[in-house]
Amino acid sequence: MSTIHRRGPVQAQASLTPMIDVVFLLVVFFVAVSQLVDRDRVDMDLPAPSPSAAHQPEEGMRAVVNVLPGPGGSSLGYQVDGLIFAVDKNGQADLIAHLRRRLEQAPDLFVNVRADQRTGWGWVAPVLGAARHAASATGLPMARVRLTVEPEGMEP
Amino acid sequence: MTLLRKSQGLQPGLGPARSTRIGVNLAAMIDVVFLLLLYFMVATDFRSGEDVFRLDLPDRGAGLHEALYEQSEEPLIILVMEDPAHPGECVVSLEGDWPTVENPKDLAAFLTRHRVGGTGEASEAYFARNHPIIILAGSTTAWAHVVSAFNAVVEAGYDAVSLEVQT
Repeated sequence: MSTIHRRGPVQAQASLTPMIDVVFLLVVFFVAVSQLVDRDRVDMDLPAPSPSAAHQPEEGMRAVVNVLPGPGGSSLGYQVDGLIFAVDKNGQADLIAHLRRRLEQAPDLFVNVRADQRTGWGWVAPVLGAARHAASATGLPMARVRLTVEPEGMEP
Repeated sequence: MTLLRKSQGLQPGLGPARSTRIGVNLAAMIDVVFLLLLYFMVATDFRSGEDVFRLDLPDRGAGLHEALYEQSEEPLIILVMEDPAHPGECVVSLEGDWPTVENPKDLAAFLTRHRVGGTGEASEAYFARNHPIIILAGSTTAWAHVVSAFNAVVEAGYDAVSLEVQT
């Protein structure tokens, strides 16, 4: 009689632990990604120049300023880091103060400007001015701004 | 006490017995976790990464507009306005005695032709790569048109571009 027969039948069992680990990691990933998307990107139609000379953004800290589209090419406000700033003088001052705080924490900060393609330039220009003033108030020689566009071939 | 006896393979009042295995049923948890996974996979909006134009805005100090025009070379001014005859479209023009350009594509061709090292004749190369260029757009001009003009200038190989609002 062989040794195997003396020990009796072998029970084969699949270990579920690695699978549960992986599935939990996937759940955490999707939860985190969906929150990041909601916070930084407001749904709007970005400009889509063609042929485009734009490029992929380099890595680094960023503050995404969304120019919230309003009726008739106007804007309802500016959204940064989940905060909404009005399009009046007080809102502009608050936006400058917020960007200044972010720049003090991270002087290499990029200010990404997102605006709907139909929004009037007069509503977008104050954001560039706010970035410039915030950088100046922080003592930086320049504001590092990035104009966000739709990648070529991805027009809405 | 009962639990202790069970964990030791004992039954109350019966003395030693066959060992009992206590297991946690994972099936319910796996079901829930898979449902969560499916939910987030469906709900997550997989968007492609966005492209950017880099724009460094130097500190101008108090002289906001003087600094633009007090440069060693006269800046080339590009006007971008809404087309009153065709709402939603724009009119691009060059300030000064320059040929007519009608759209961003024409603008890119003109700038490339007249750039030093560009596609045109050497005698027509008027602008260096860092020649100051100002894009002057009306406040109601759609952002897409301003970006198109900016894109044309960048595409033509220039790197000293400024965006201004026409007042």
